[in-house]
Amino acid sequence: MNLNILYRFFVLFSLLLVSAQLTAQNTASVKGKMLDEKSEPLSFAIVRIEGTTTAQNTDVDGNFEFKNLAAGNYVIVATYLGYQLNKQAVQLAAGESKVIKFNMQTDNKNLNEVVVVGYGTQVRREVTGAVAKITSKELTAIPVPSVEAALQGKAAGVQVSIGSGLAGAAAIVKIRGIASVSAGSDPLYVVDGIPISQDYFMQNATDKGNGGGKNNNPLATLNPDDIESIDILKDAAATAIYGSRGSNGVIIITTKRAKKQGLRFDLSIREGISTMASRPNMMNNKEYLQMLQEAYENDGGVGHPTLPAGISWEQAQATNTDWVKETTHIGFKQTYSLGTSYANKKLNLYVNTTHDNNSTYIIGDAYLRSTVRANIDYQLTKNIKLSYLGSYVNGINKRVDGGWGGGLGAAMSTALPIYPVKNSDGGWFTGAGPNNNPVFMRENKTQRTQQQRTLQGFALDATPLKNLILHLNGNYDYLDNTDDVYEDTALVKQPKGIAKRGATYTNNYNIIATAFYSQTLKRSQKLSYLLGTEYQRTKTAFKYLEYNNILGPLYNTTPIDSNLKLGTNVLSKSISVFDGYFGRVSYSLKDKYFVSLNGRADYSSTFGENYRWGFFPAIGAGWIMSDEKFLKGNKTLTFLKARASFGKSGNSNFGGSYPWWGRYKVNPAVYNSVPSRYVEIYENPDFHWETTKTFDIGFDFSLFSERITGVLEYYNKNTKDVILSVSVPNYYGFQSGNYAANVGKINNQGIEFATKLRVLDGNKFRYTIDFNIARNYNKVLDIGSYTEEAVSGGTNDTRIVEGQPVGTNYLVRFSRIDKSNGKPVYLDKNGNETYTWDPANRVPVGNIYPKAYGGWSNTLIYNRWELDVNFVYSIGGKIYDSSSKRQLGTYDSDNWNHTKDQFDRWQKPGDEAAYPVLTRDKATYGSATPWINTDLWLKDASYMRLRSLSLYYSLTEKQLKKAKLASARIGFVSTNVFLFTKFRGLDPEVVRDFENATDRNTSPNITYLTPPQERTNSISIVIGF
Amino acid sequence: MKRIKIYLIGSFLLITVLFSCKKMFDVDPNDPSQIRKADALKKPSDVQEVLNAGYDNISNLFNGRVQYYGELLSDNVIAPKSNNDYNEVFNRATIFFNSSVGGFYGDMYKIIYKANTVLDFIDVVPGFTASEKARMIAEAKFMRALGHFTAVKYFAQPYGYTSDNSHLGIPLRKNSTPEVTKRSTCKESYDFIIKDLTEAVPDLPETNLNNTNATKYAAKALLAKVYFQMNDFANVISQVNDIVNSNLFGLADSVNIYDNSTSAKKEMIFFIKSVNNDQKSGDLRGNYHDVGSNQPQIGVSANLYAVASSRSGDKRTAYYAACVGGFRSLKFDSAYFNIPVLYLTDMLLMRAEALAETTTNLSVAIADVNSIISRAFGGISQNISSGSGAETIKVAARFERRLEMPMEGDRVQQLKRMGAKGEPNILIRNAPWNCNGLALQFPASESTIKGFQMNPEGGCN
Repeated sequence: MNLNILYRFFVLFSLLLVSAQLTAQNTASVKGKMLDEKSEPLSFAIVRIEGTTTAQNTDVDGNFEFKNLAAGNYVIVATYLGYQLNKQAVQLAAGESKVIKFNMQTDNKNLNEVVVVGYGTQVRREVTGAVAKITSKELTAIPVPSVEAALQGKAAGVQVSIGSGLAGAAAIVKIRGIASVSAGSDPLYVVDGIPISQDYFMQNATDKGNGGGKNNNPLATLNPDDIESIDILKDAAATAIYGSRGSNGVIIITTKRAKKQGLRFDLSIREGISTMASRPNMMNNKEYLQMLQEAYENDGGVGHPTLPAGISWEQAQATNTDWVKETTHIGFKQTYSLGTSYANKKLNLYVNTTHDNNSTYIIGDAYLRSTVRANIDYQLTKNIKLSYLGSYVNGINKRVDGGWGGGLGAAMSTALPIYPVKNSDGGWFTGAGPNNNPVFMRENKTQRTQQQRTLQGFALDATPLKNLILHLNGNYDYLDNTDDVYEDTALVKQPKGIAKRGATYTNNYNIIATAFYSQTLKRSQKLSYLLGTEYQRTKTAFKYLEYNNILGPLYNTTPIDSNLKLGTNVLSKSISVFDGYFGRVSYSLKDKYFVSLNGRADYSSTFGENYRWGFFPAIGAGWIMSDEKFLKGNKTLTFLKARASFGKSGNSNFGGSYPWWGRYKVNPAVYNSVPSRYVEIYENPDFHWETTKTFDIGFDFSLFSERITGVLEYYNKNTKDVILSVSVPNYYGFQSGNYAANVGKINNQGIEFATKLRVLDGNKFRYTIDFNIARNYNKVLDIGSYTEEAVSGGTNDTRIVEGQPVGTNYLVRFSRIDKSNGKPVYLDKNGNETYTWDPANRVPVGNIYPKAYGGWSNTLIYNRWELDVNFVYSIGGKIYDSSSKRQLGTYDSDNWNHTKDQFDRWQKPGDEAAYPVLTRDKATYGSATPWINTDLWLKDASYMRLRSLSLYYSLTEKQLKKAKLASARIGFVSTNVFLFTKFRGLDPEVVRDFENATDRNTSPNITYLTPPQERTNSISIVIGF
Repeated sequence: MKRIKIYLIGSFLLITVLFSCKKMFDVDPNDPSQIRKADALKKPSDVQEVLNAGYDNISNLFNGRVQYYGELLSDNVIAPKSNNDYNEVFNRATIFFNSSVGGFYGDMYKIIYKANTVLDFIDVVPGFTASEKARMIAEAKFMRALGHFTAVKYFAQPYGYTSDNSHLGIPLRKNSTPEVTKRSTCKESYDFIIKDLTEAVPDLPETNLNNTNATKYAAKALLAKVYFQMNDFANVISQVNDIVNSNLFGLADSVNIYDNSTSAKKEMIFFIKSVNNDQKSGDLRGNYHDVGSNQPQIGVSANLYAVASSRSGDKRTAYYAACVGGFRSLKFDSAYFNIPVLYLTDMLLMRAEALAETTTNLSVAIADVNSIISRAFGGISQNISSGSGAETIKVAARFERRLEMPMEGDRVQQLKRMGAKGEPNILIRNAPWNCNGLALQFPASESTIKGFQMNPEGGCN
């Protein structure tokens, strides 16, 4: 603690030193006003004096004033989010006072945009790190299950895999490859200053983390309509200021503020429908029976095989249930959003309320989200501004089982077409087990997850001295994720049902204090300092409850205490704390050369007592080459900036359950009724964060006066101390087989390219292309003394193998089908053919992460019409179609329905077929276990998807005036319109449910009965008045 | 300026105070069922609780798995009805993905880990009396030996597989720190087990919690079994003599001791206790038992049934019934029952065979065998004659052993022992006694660290 105090005094002392220098007195001044295109004032805009760091915000009337200036020539620069940078030269004599006016133009050109960096903002020109920006328009353009899905294809190096078709499903976001194995590799999400909690494995009512075949998604509670912009920090120069949490990249979400003086309402309505983007081709009863019969006869069977559930052959021939049809429909979606903004001299108020009903194509599956947000800024005195940012979200996820949990998953597997929905007597058919009648399950198992999240922030900005901004900010993030399941009487076969509840409560708050000081030195030098400290505490509590003999789910039924199942309703808690001290020094020379030093010292309670503090420094430099003599005035290359950075950042996204603590489990009475205690988790005082050293070099360019702009970037990231949750040898004798240790080394290198082409830039007709592509090379360099068996990606047969990428498919190789007998032939470790499937022959055969990916957007504007055509693509990754081993495997006692693809099977000697001879006997396929993983199910997942197609019409000024509206736009949006792929399964882009972080990192593109994405068609109306 | 300075100093002092409170760094969830390592072992009763955890692990290992995994390898049972993992064991073709076998193996080392925790920490915990400390160390060593001995029987080729026993045994765990451990040789494994047991004997009590915890005689009984497995007959005889001479144990009246009768308890040198609300016998019963003519998961082989029903009047024949697929054992039909781990019948039959093998005190050997036979027949009609020679005694002892201990996992170890001793034509369901697959495969977790040698597979079919 002494160190903390010392540091804090150091911060204080340096600030005082700086303030003591401010003694020189000058007499000239310049004041002015900043107006938008409609001559309305722009408040809170940044005005600065070029070549200095003297800057200020405009007040609510758009006014600014620089006093006490020395006589001389100045260039005043005005910037505002979403507007073009504007400069005016002013000559001031001693004592002279001048008035200027800025008429700001909205900006769709990105070189001068304001970007949000850690604990502050910068103009794009001055940024020395790799930062991508996404605006609110892009975020709300298409309906998405969760906001992170809207990032897909929008920024180079940001890989987004869209979640399944379930409502509110989480996408996976990876920034510049993957450098973690068992620690979370998701970026840090910071909403208006607070790193929000994002646990993807919150307690479910039926399982920890992925009950019912779905993980909870903490980001589903963010309302895209509230978001002004998202800034993505990619390299160490940008992320080091987030210290031990920056290495996966940082996604900074800024919510909306009132933009203009006066009162304004914005109403947005969207109505749409959801259908299945691709449909499983399951066999019907005739086809299934024919194939089953063939398998039976191939094995030497005579007559008909015995059917499950006591169904006779004749009954089976007469029953044909299309379970996919029974579990899906056309889903309806609505979004209503009403924003109110008001600004006057002192007050800036933004209030928004959104109601979203997102029903998917799966019957019974919907996410209903109601949001209210209020952002208020109030200028208390000339020097003090108070802000409040608050939101409350109530998300109700009506759930049905999915994936392996049942529902549509059952329709693709254990629900055979020969099973009826109901018996002839009208009662439910449950003869094959209730789970194999997904309609029965849907009607008799109520599932609901309620997610309530509130984000509350208070900020105080004070400018006690000119050029000194003190910022004190406190934020609170609360998430209550309560999952309820009620199993009705017909299911549990007792007079009253069973209610289960799994709940996770996350209390997360932080306090940030920063001081920013800027000064101008001689010879056009600028220097600015940011010093700050941040404390964050997150407390998570988990609860599981189970009541027997209850008439309904716990959210609408009061249980009787005595019916509580023994041992449930126990709250378990975990607490984690971060404490950080950070600083940034930025230096610029002639507004042309930029150097920035970042650093953060971080304390984290997650890590072992020997590694409590980490220091994460970074340096970045930028050079506007186009301002040099050799390029100045060049008509082709109008702008060129070179950037380079090097730095260290960390990842500490590992569990809230005290991974380093050695803990003894105490049990009051075990065998022989005596108490016991034993080590449950072994102590690891050296447990610490992963450290990534990143080198980045990039070029920002503009050709033909910003007709073509772009960024080209190369990075090399070396991560050490990668946390592996290894399966330790059983001979250690630990209670749990996993042990977290810092053992791995991973390298990621890549190239990113993003460009914007303004192909046509006329007044009436405009055509813009945005294109980006990223190529990432990933390699596990070292996993210490462990082997490829040490870390497994859940049930998915991906492994961490030295010399191979993260997420390597580790499978027995399928060679061919023996044309003479139809048996599958495998390859042993040495590549020799064998009929025997032996897991000892598994080798690295593929990687689930793509080689290259990106997006290609086209915007065509003609008069009041706008057409947006967005493609996303992914090249070279694999998909492991894990359910195929059963849908296209043996007709064994698991009684799965199969897909029609199996028609292409070997039938007689000489046949060339895709799949082996049909059989009911696993031995025919050379195995002792019936379902075996081989690379026969590993497919190329390359695809290009017409992600969205939108057509909008905006009302003309004339029409608007007539209708007394400020703005109005009507549009039609279609998503997942078309898919180009060689993959024959459902969808080459899949995010299934996961068991843990390792699974999520190493097995994203593996499908196991995962509901495919939805296709939506909607109409949207946006009106401002 | 002064005002500003005061303002600055004030606000930052406030922040400093705010940010520096010690409580802000306290992250202990204060969960009473979880104790931090530093607070866990403070007094003798804490160490005793670790021992208790070890016994709990033992009770969960001998809950059926030791018995039926052994039996599945032998010729006493038929292929399991449906369980894939058991089927691999039956086929003597376990692979490292067999999670049932993996869990079985892991539980042995959980026992050993508890023992090692006791041994590692007992010296730093204050407050022990000398005798209490000695007793706990001895119990821990018994526990460690029991774990290692079970592991070496199932996961390595038997003692005598190579003439100098330089073949691979098991990883020997001598302390509780998680450090990489390679497999020791079979000789090293047996030496370590014998050392632990020999050291344990002097400090163990004569009885301990009704023999559910380690006693002097439990250690001796285990030693006898270890020596028997090594075909070291002189040492078998000496250990069993000590047990018999203690007069603490007697043969049960019934031929089936898988019930909770007082008479059955007389036999128990070391056993797993089952009570109504903590039935340790569920897994054992669950796999062998069924009702009527239903086929249980693990059924009895025709070969065993033929042997068991070869003599009329043998009460033990009543413990078989015909069912779908062949026969099932009725030995485990009680709702719940204590499970013998070390018991007198086994000791007497070992001594008889050992005496016969060494041709010493044959009259004792004959009396041992006859005590078992006369119990089975309720009289002396089938007893071997008092003048029986060594070979007759040996054959009788082996025959009775198979009938007394079916379904207990003993048969396969006996066949391996005979094979290792050099007896000709020892086949187990047509597989040579030393084929690879008769040693179970280690779980995949053991291969997570480079350099661990897994067992070779196959060769038994």
